[in-house]
Amino acid sequence: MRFRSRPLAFYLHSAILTAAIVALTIVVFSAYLTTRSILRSNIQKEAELLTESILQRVTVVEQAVVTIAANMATALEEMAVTNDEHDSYLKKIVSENPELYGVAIAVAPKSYEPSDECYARYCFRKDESLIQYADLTDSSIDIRIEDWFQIAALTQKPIWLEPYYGQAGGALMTSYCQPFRVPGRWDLYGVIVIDVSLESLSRLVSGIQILEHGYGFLVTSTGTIFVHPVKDFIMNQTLFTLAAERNDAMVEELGHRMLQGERGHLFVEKDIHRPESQVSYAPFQHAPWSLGLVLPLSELNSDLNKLNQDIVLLGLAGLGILFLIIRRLSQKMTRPLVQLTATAELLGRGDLQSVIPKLKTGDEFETLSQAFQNMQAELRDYIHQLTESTAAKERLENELRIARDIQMSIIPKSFPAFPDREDMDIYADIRPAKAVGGDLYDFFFIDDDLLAFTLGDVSGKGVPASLFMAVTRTLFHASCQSDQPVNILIEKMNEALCADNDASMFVTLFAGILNLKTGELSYCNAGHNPPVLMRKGAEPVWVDDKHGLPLGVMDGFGYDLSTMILQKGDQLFLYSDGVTEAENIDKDLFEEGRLIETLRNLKEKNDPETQINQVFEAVARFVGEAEQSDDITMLSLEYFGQENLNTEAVVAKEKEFAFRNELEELNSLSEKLEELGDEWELPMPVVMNLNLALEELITNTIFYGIQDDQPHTISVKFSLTENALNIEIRDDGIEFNPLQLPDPDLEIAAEERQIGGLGIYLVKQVMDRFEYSREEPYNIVTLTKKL
Amino acid sequence: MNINESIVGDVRLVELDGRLDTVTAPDFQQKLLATVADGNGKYLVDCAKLSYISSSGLRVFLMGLKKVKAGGGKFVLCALQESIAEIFEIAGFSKLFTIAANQDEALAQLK
Repeated sequence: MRFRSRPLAFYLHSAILTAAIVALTIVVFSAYLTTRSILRSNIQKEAELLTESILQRVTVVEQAVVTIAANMATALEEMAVTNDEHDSYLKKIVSENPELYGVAIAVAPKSYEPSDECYARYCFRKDESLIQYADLTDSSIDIRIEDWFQIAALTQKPIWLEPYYGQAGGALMTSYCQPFRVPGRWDLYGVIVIDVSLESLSRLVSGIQILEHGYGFLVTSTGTIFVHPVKDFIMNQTLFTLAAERNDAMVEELGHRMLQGERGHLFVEKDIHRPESQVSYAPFQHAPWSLGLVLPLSELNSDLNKLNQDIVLLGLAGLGILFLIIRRLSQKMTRPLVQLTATAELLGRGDLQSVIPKLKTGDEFETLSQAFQNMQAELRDYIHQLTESTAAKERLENELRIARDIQMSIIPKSFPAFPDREDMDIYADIRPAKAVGGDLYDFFFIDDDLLAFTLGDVSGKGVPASLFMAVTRTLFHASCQSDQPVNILIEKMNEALCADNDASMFVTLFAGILNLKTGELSYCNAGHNPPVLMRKGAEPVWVDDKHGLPLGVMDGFGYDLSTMILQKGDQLFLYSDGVTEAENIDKDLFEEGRLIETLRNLKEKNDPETQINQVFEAVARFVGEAEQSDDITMLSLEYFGQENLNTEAVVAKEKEFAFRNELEELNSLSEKLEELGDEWELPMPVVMNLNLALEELITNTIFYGIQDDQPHTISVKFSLTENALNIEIRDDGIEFNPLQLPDPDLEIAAEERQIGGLGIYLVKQVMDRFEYSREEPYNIVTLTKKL
Repeated sequence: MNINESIVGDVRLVELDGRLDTVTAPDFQQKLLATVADGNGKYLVDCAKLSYISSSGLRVFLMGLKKVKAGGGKFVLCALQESIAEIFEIAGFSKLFTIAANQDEALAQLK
């Protein structure tokens, strides 16, 4: 039997076997009781029969003794037997009555004739056949004072004497004493004594064996035990002395009943003296004695126990057979279940082709098997459908994955992004919460000096957000080509995004354009989280200017912009709300405070990549086991400034020239530059670029910076370092920052091009650094040209 | 700065030699504007010997171009030295002007 079907068989077994055991117990117990009562009743009947039979036999003897004595008395009273004939008469009586041991005639003196001597003749059996005569008068005993004579004489009635041990051979004897009268008178003449041996009675009673230890006993009218299996009791104990000795009320009760000549039974419970038993008692018909039979009921129990044992054994055998039958039956019943279970397991493992046993039992198992077949068929259909829908889902997921790959491919992912640039470092990373997210970042150079960057967060997630993000990013990229202020770019993007925004999506966006030459950062925040500005050596601060609504919300919205100048070592940190709204399992948010704290704690190494990775780690630590709830995107920008061009490196050579504020000085300028180029072995294109830049700047100063008619000096100081040429131009004209001039629009047609405004632009282009400062009363322009 | 003007076929040719800077630009401006005064002809400026140019020079070229475009003529430059071409490129002028590699090519284009 397989293990998994055990419970059913187990319950079947236990239920039926329990019922069978209970029934068996009831049967055994009631059989026990019935059998016991039958056995007891039988043994009681047996005892009664035995009693009857013993008493009958005793009565025959008694009757004979009584009759003989009566006849003798009659014969003597009527003088049918004379004194001379006494011996022969006695002999005749003894010889004719074998049950008699001896017979005596005792004549009391003066009872008949006052002169008469005491007279007693006794004839008895000795050695079976010989009959002896004894003359009791020979003895010294006066028979008249003997108890038996006195009692018989006084009561004038026959009496049975208490048993006694006779002189001849010590046998147990009793005597029957019959008084007789003087012939023709009422006076007592003598007493006839008939001796009876009690040996045969004793043997008879002693020979009684009821069961194993059952026995008979006899007591006299005084309760003296004279027949009993225990020899010590005989003639030594009465029932009462025995009772007193043993403190046994039952024996005393028995004694009273037997002495009163009652007939009946006494049930004796098991106690310290004996096992459970019953005493039957009955009186003799003539003698004042009583017969008792002890029935050892407990011995019935051994038979009973044996019987019970047999019944129990039979019952156990029956149980065994029952068990085998049940087992067989349960196996037969559960075999289909086992088969169906095995099939169900196969089904569970996905084996939908397994053959389900077709049961034709016509019972519930057939129905179950049918149900299994139906289930299998339906499962097959279902799995088939599921497989198809799963395949469709996988296709969709695959497409989403591709969408994500495309999305990731359109944002710059390789770092360092601009390994050639020494004036800035930028790093960004995005970790989408779902496969396709709505965060975006982007950065690229519009031209050599202008770095455009943005970070945004599209409302929602999934493919629509991703598409919206892609559109936003594309718009930003396209708009930045046109060289317009960043707020104008944002406005254009907003209009484009509003135009076809059926899904009512929007994007919060921070966009900035950093001029790496000047460090000027112009930026526009359209509803996005405020970035963090980390000035070198200062605490991080929020850049919390706001310039308008998120893009895609309101068509035609006008956006502002802000500007700031970044110094060497300044950093700007952009992020999406996935950072500040990262949730831990307690639904607490990471929040701006922790972000600032994390950024503040960055000590030694705080380059953009380290910075972003540290913030990611801090967020991950905070979030713990909780699932990432939103895209997390960060972008960090560090501005090294132009000084990274090693302008402060050891100056190898220096030269200073002074020019007047006259245009003719430009000829001198070109000559001096040629000389300097020769002297310092500068490449020709560099010399040309220097000439161009200085000409433009000096011209500017002459035309616009110096507004009086006084002569002024414009000093130009050259210094050569290992890899760069630095030029400082100093004039004392009015304060004028050439960097403030707008760049010309290079895209428009010739007809619309302004004639002016090209000079400063050319300087910016041909030089690697262009800075302006005012140290009253001087305008100081610093240029650097990498070599 | 030498400015040599001649006529090749129906093309008015201006050949520049030297530096075109703030100092020399006014002279070139005057001559060029005079040359393109009609604005409806064919004009070629040969820059083969132009060794330097600043924004003042560029400005003059732009003025000439505007004039010719307004008049419906053709204005072509040729044979720019590498450093000059670079400045043109930076200033966005290479998109505005028709620039030929040498004089023959320029003349062919003007036909």
